[in-house]
Amino acid sequence: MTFFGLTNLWIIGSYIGCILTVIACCYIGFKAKDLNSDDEGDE
Amino acid sequence: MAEGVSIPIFAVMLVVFAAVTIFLGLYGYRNTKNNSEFLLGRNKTNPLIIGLSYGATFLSASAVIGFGGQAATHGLTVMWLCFLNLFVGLFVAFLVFGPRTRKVGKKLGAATFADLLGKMYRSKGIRGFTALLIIIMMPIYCAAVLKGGVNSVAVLTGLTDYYDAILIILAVIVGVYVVYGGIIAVMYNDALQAAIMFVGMLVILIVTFNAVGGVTEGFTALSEISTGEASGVLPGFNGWTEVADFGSNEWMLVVTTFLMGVGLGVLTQPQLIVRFMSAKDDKMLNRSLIVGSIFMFLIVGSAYTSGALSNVFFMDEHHLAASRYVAGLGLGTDFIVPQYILEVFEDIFGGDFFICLFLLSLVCASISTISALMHTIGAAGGYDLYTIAENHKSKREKDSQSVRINRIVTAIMMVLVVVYCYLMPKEIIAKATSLFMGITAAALLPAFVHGLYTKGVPDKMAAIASITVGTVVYLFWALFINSSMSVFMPICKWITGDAVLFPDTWLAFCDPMVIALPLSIIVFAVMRLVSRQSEKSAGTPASQ
Repeated sequence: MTFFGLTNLWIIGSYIGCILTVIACCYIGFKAKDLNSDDEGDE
Repeated sequence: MAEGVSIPIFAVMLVVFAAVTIFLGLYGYRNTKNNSEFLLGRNKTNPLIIGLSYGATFLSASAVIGFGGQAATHGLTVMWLCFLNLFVGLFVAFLVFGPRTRKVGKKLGAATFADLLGKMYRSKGIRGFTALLIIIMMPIYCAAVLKGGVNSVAVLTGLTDYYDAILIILAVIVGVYVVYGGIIAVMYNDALQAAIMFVGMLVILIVTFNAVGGVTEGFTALSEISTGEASGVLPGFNGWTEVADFGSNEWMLVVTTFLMGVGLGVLTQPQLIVRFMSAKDDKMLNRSLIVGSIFMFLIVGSAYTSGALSNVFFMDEHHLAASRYVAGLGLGTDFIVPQYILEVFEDIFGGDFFICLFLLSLVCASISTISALMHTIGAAGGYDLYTIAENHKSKREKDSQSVRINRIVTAIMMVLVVVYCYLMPKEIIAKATSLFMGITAAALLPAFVHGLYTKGVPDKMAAIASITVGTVVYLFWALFINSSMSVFMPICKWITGDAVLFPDTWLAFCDPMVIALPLSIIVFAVMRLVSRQSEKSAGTPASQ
């Protein structure tokens, strides 16, 4: 398996892991933006 | 070797940068009316500021220069640190720790990490110990970051004769805006510095891929460089695009010290935890993830990828791998990335401007971290320890409200950090980062997690036992076993004549945190079980 010239699965995995984490962070961030602002929920 | 940067261009950039920094410092000063605003600045921030400030504070020159140089030496395995920075340092920290920290901090009225832990456990001892740990250990990290930034600026500008002046000017700029502007100035300046870092590193990544012929071509060329060209690596190194042999000395150094030490240690960083407590609500934290994740991925990913690919560039230009070439110039690992930048931009249109932009990014990366660290150190002394001392003296239970004391302590500690710079060994940016993050994780992570998530009253005795074991084991391993860490204070050499007790074994390359953190967790769990047994037999809570 080759990923932009990289062949070691651990190294490829590190890049894919980074990209997936950024996607997940952006998804959560944008989702939070759409929520109403009345969920303060402090204790 | 390429010549230094264009001093006139860099001077103009610095003047503009200093003017904006002072303006933001004044903005912070005008908006800091009480101690709470000096320490947290709650309601004066927004998701963009929190995300950029968190990223800029987290990353520093250590990520760009220190770990970029390590990527050039040890290869792309270091990209796992980029993943850990994003997943543990951002995703887990913001979604698991952040909201709970913010809520508990607000509920308890905590303003610092030491204050938070102390109030969670209703323990002045835990608060005092955490503040002392910050005051004693954080200046090492702070001095390493300051020294790293100044070293690079002095060498790249060719102004090594003015080293002392650069060091003092940088320290004064940071000191003034932290002392007067408090957390508001720190966070707004962090955001400005993060934006400069973002542009600088984006340009470097594009230029790097262009210099090595493209993404696929660059990685293919990197994988084709013989391991015989490597320098500064340990047995077990398999190449820049391969992972080292499992359990080998190289694997131990890269995985336990660089990946785990920094990757996990981020969860208990006092200067980062304060960012959570600065947020107005959970949504603000979640929104910060967008800009924070993109910023961190670009900065760290660019630094490590460009660092590793610099080997392809140096092989083409000088027929030597990066660390070997830079060693030939009389420079160390921490200079690989700066030297690479100097040479790769040499023949590019506007190269002088981009080299200056990189240098400014470097200055920004350094001072964004130093300012946050200084604010944390100042608060640990001027707020936590001063509160404990005052309460003890006047037999009361009240937090200090004196902004002035915080400012005085911050200024004094800044002077001490400058003194530290002259006492520290060379080439220690990455190791000093790992040292501070490792010891805080080993000592405080189990107690912090338990305090955040336990239902009912946290177990004070378990926390004290865990903090004690984590600290003692970490310090023993760092001073007597680990060859990387023992350079900070060579006690073992003074006593035994050897740098460490078991040189040339895997133990000498195993990071202290890998041993101390599990022991700290085990001790916490055992003490918790004992407390529960006591509670059951006595029918009352045994923890308080």
